[in-house]
Amino acid sequence: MKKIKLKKGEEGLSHIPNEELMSLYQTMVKIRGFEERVSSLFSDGLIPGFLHLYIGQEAVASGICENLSKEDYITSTHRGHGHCIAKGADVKKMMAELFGKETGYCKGKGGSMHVVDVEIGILGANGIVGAGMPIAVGAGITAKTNNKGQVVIPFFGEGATGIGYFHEAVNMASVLKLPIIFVCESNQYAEFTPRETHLPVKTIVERGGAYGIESFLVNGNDVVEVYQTMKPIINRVRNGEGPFLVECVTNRWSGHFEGDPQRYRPEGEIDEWKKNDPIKNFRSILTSEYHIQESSLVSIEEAVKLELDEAEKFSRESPFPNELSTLEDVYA
Amino acid sequence: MTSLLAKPTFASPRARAYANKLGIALDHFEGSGPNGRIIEQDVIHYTEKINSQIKDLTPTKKQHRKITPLAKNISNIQNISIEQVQGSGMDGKIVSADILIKVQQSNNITDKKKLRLAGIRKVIAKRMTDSKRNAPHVTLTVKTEATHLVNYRNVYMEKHKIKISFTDLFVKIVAESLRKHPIINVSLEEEMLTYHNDINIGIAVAREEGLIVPVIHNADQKSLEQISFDVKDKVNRARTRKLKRTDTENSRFTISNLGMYEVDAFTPVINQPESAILGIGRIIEDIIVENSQIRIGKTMVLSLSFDHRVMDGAPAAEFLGELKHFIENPEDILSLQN
Amino acid sequence: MLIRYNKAINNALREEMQKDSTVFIAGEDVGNAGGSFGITRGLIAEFGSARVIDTPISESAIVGMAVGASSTGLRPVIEIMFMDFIAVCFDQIINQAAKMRYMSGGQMALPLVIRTQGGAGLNAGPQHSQSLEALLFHIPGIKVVMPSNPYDAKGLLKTAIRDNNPVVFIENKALYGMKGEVPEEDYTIPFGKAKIVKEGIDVTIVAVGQMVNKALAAVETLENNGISAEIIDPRTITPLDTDTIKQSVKKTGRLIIVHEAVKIGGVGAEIAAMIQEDIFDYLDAPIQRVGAPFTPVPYSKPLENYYLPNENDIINAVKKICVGRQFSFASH
Repeated sequence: MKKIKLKKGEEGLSHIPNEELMSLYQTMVKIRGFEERVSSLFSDGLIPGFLHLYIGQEAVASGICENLSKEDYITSTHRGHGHCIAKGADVKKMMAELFGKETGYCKGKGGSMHVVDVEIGILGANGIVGAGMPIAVGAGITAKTNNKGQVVIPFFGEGATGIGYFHEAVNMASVLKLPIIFVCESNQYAEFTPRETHLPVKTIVERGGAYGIESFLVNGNDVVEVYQTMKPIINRVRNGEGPFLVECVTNRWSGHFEGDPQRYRPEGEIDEWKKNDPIKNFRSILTSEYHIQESSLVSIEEAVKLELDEAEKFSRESPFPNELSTLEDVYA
Repeated sequence: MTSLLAKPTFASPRARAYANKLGIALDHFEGSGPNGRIIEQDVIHYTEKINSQIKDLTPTKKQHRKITPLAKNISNIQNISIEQVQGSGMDGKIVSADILIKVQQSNNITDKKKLRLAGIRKVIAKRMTDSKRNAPHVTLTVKTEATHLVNYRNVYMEKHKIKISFTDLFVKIVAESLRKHPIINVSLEEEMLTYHNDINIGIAVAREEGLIVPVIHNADQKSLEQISFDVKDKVNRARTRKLKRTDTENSRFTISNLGMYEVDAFTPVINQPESAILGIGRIIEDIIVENSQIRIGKTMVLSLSFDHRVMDGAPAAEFLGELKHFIENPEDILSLQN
Repeated sequence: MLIRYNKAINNALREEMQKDSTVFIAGEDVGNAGGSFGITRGLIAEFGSARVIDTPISESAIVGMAVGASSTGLRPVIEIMFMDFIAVCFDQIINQAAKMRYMSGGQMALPLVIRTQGGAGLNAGPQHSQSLEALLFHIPGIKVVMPSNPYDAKGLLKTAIRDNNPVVFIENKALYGMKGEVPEEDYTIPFGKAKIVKEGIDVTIVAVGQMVNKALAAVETLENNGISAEIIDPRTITPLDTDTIKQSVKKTGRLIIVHEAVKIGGVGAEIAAMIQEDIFDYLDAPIQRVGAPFTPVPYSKPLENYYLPNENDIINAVKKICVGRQFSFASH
């Protein structure tokens, strides 16, 4: 096992071009905005079911997916909105799906936990903890067969390392030498249970050694660190190495699901984490260290708000699916 | 108020549905199924029993009687049941004189038997009356030369070493003509016209207990040999009362062949909900005038009854013309190679 | 040519792999070992280890891998060594493979085949002898195939591989040695098309898998008893050819369903329910089911013999309902 701990700026700030910095910022803002918007629509009763929000973890999906193209594959989790937006999903179709409308990604058959966009390599958010990992192994076989340098990234939380899927999939990917980077987002809670209660190890990267794969620990609240750590790893995978395991340490601000009162969390914990807001932190270094104009950032924020307004309007106005479409799409 | 002590009658759904269709209450039947349950065969058995009583009140048990060939012929022709005849020959053998006495007696009978309509006879009576009452029948007839058809059949049987009947040929010809005239392949039920895609030909089969119409399904898709096999099988089973209900379902057009009798033309009654029926008369030697020449050939008369509610005379006449054409040119549909 | 059931399956795999380069095999021992029942023998030599993949003992990950590979353009044919082991990977079968297309609103197609084998008769004991098709039959989104002879095995497997849906292909271990005539040329057998194995007029026997052959073995005794049985092999239970079964029952008025699985909650229960719902008025006797007792499959020879339905059980079931005046001469 090899652990790399990169310090912010170790490879130099100038390595990131401005348009990528802006793109990273836009993705993070869009994820946060989307989650806040659907949270309020959920409170208004316009979105039914279960919502698992990604607020607090935006740096992970944004920093990783900035390095990917639509030919690369990801599998996601029940907390999947951030991954999908970062991979390029259309927020109109996403939001309409959450509304249960005909115009949604899955024509109202999937909902929040099942956003899929095959065209851009999103093989699905998933309602079963850990289930995306073996699916990523299959996509890895396809990528290896295609031999065009495609990368596969299954996202999962530290809680999912308790399920057999993690061990079977990492083991199999290692044996078959597949182009996969297993990305664990340690957000400190497995549903309602804190990390110390269900994990006998301090870090998930320690587990990579058991399967003979190189593993990396990253500060998942620092988008620059995530982006810069992933870039060389992804390039190595494109050149035929792999698989790898990356653990991104971050925080989940919201409950396990929307409406979760989070009585299991110590008082003041979330407030403490909010002081280390990945978006606020990034915004301040963008202006102070990268010398990006405040006005550029404001225009990104305004554009995102406009896009989300449109998505909301689209979702509200879209029709519900015809009830008979219940019977469609069972078989190809 | 019905007695709570009344014994419930157990019947299979199939027997129940069939009895219901015939309009016979369940308590008439004697159940032979598991635990005495009434099954379909019990209903069939009952109706056959009733019908044989109408036809003939002699015991159903038939004994083997010794009889001379001449006496047997006379009894057949005169329709005398030999069970009731006392034999005056050696060992009680029936001789012609015994039969002739019986003929004399039966001609003198003035007493009438009265029996209430029941079972299949009742069903036939109702269906025929309904058809005549509801469907304005028009019957078209045409004389048709059958010389080629007769030759064709002989050559076919010689070549294939199998026996085929005229009925088999007519089933094939009617099926082919229906395919060309889908407007005839129609049924009318509750003011709804249904145009059928499948071509299923019913054949009227005479039995002691009454007429039955087994069906040759998808006749247009079958070879002459397949039709012949199917017709033989179903006619045999009709006569031995072994037809399944599915064998008589979904008929689209019926053929009534009286060619074996001294009948030239007649007005067949439509087997509803079908909208037409073809009556076939006997084939006779005839004088045929063609191009001002006289020759001897074989002819027959086709009688087509159609339901005037469903169609007018012109399409029916065209269909009849098609039938005539195929009978006069059988090679047009029936290749000797098939 | 006259070949065995196992060879017919091997031929189908080879021919489909030659025909379509996206078809690949994966599973435990399928490569150099040629499969634990020898079904994949010789394939690795012809197609190499990239297309005949030996995996770790990870049933969940094997099925998950098939989900991922099939949704990204390949046609995996994976082997689950014993049908009993599908219990280990039921999440991937039920929650992933069966639902992916539906959850994605029809975006995904999953052309994957899960080959497995079930059935008792080889004293393999309770965890290696089960017939669990009813569990799969209950799940919309997968197709379930049960070939009863070499000809069907080859033709149905080819259809399975070419189908764009997840297919569970259930072989029967007791049939691997069965010989049968199989054409040399390419042929397929459509799904959802039952085979009338033998025509008859008195009673319809619907039998699946190995039981088709047991029903055939009962025919002569039944004929001697004056009972003409029609035997129907559905070949695929999903989709189920209900039309052929109904047509036959309309003709005969009597129905027996035979399967090797336990009688309770089996496929027979569904067929019986469907028949009485749809064509009650054609039934001339109560529908009978022949199946195994509600116990695990025992190991010892006499116990397993007792457990497994046989031709005598079928004959007894038929005789129980073929009572009536048309059968009366038989009892004299």
